[in-house]
Amino acid sequence: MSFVSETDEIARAAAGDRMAIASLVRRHGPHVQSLAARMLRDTAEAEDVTQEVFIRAWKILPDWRPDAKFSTWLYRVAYNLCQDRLRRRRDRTGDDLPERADTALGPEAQLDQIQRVRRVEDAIGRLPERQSAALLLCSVHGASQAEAAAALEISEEALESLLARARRSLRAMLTQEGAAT
Amino acid sequence: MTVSVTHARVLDLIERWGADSNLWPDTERAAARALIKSDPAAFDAALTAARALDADLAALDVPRLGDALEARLIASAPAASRRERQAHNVRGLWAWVPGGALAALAVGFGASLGMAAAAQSADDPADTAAAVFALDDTYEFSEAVQ
Repeated sequence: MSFVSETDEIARAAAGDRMAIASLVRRHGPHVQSLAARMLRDTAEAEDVTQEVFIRAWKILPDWRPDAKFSTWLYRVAYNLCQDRLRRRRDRTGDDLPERADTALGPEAQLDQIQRVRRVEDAIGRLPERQSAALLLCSVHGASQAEAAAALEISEEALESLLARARRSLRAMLTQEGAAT
Repeated sequence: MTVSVTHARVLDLIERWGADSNLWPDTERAAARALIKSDPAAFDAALTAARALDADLAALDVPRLGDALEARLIASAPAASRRERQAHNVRGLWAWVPGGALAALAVGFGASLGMAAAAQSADDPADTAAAVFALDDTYEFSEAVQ
């Protein structure tokens, strides 16, 4: 049984406690990296973003307010960094959509679970950034309505609207590709 | 606070949050569930479509960090000075220790034979205090009391 709250863990991490630092990294790092990877569709860039997020986190920890939620702050920084990178990509390529990894599938593999997941990820990658971020935060990372809205710095009503558009677009894409049943 | 909802609003909730009502906003969940229960046919098609998408999204996992990245992230945290660690540990100790344990400590140092024996058997006062508190991290406590 652990008596250590996240607030105390953050205070310990800010004081240089390596155990607390490692615990925060292990709890939140996978979510930050996963969000970045799905938004950027580039593993190396996602790792860079994850590292940048945590470097910023270590700097603000000494001034952390106990009423703030650490995961929400991490998501917000990750989302903003991803947006910056996607914007720079668009400036370089003149493309409105983020570059996408080659996810072409052979017809024989359409029923394979791994490729099914890849199709879903590919479809999410084609959503507008704000829609994909809203969907990922709420449906994959378990953020509440309030947390996701705070991470994206929008109202809860705007978040609902993004979610509705994201799910409609995603369903249409997957149906079109035969991935939805 | 619970609010009433309309058929249209329940369809909105399904469209926006999916078929799992646990994910719907707290204030509307109970009313929405009741409405679905009272007229399931009205929401069947929307729920079926939402469940298919929910299943696709549920298949997306959150993979653990690679060892190298995890090590880099941990290493990127600055090491605090000894003075900062000590200050934190002292603050943390007072925030952690329950009132009962504090009372026991006071009694122990003043009168309890058992505590006195423990104090005599320990070379380091930090070990004694750690034993009283049943602390398993004596290293940090040692630093705090130095």
